[in-house]
Amino acid sequence: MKELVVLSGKGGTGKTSVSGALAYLLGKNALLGDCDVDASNLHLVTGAKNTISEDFFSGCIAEINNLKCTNCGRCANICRFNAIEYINNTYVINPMHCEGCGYCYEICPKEAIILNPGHTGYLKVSETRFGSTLVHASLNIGAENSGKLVSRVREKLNQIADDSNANLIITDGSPGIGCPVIATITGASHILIVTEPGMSALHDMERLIKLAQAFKISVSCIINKYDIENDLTKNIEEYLKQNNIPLWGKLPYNDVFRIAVSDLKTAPELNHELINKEFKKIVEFVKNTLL
Amino acid sequence: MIIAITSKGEGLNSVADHHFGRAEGFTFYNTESDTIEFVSNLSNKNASQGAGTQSAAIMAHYKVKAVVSGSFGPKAEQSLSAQNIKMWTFKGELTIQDIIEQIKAGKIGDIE
Amino acid sequence: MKIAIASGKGGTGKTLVSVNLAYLWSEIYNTKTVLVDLDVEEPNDHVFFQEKISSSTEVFRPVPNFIKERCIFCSKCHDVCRFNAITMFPDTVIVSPELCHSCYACAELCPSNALIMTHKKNGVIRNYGKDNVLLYDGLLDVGEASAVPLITELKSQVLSKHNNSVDYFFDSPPGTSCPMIESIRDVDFVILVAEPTPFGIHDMDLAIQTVQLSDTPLGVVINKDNENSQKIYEKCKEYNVPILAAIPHKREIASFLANGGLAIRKFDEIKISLTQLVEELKIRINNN
Repeated sequence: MKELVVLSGKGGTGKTSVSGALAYLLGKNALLGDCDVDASNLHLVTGAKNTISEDFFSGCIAEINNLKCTNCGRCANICRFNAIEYINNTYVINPMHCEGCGYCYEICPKEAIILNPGHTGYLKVSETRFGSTLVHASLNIGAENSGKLVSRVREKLNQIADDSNANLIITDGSPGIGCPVIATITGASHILIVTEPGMSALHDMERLIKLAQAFKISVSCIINKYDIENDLTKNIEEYLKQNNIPLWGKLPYNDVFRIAVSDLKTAPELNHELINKEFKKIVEFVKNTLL
Repeated sequence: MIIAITSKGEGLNSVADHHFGRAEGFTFYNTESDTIEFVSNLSNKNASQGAGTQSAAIMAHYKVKAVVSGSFGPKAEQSLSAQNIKMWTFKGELTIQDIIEQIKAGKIGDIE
Repeated sequence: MKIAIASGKGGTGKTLVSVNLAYLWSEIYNTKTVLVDLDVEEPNDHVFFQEKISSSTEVFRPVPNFIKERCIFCSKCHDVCRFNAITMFPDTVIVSPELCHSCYACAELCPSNALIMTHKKNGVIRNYGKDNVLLYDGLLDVGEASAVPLITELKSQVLSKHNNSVDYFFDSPPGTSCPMIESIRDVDFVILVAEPTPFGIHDMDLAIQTVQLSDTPLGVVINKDNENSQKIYEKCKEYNVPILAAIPHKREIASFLANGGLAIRKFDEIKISLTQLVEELKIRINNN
């Protein structure tokens, strides 16, 4: 099944607003994924319910067994992540900074270090109010976001896809270009970048495009809040043209988006004529490119 | 020579796996004795990263001359080439038996 | 003094607050401030900073390099690496630097010194300005998995250079996982910038919980303040977190920022909100 990943590079451009809108307009035809496991939001606007959660473990967190520890300090000397401190006459590992490399475990002369499986978060599968399925996740406070939980979300999406009535996967990604984003795009069919007029957003989109090219995945773009700064929007359109990146749509800066989100609805549900016309165009592009 | 075939399970009737790095397991086919041996690849299938390179190391360890799979990721390709292990591909739903027959008939790969 | 500015959700206005705060603080106290943009995946403070770039230096992180002649093929390196970055072949060892977390275990536990730590470029550090407000930022190479090593290096370099002679403002990346945690490490105060939308409040909740794990004092600044901000007040009361200032929501502000200007110069209401923030910070940090 083909997969469309919605990304932004910079946060706050309206990625989840677009993913949510596509989820509403495609209804049962779309299988939804939220790979922004750090600050996942898609479940809020798609009315996720009947959620089945599964514990997710990845890596490990080291712990010192004080009964065996003789305070030799060798672990603290070799820990490259400053996760081991001497507090109240004893050595303590701070789980928030432990990288799970296990070096301390290997060299402890008294075998006083235990490696506990890291409970990183939860994988979740929910039903949406559109009759579709949403695969999402939540990362525990302070847990690492190395991309493993993201990979698990995508693995689950692929497992469900075979038995699903949907003909397309829509995945909401996270900001940035690091591991979680890389884990979101590997094997994806197409990346849709949601950007906004502004030097920040343009820089960030350029870096994201480089990443997409490195993975040889096709890219297209939507300009959100385009009428905030018409000159900058023209710059973006020029840039897209020069780099052969299709522009799938331009959405205005409009209260509809703010009101929709505060009511936990998607923008097209508010029936604004021009905005809905633009979304209809975008859905056509999605169907033509991916189906 | 030994040819590895990525497989979803053990035995001639099991289905061939399209993945290499994250294959469920490998069936090693010995062309001289016409026998097979299955080895599980679960640890790499479930690994969060590095599966391609590690699976290639298994091929080298078993002295495999060629691997048959659906496709090979960039890291796997790099490692297998460096070890002079050939990469042959198949399409569709095939069993291990089907693949071995295709190898014998010269439809997959290039047996000398 | 070291102050971090963070948020759960992206796009709430961290950069707006960080940049303007660095300038305003410097003016009010007639002191030197250093702004550090720790969002090394997508740094944007430079867009709003009033000075051009002064220099750019390459940054490296340690990864092992295999020396075949010394290897005795004992597999110790492969056995200790928990990130699958070391692969044992019959005739060689392959290191996958993109998977390496730079823990040094393989190199230091190898019985025959066949793995020596070397350097792999992971980005650049740039600096801007020369007077009372300086900016440092980092740019992570595209394809690098983790922002954390570059964040650690950037903080370390800046703190070594200026020590306690300046006040620091660390603009953190969005989110609540490792990059943010590394950014707010060892600071005197964390400002969380929140927006009054369901996503913003949901993510602010996660951000508060994350900062509270570290026992660092924190406060919230509301950006794009509107009639829904009541929910932020309620949530902050639950967590016993003070609201330090509120910045109003205006379309003109968004347009102005799209062009990269210094908001306190153009919008009095922002200057007033941030001045209040400066006063709150001085009181709260001195009390600790």
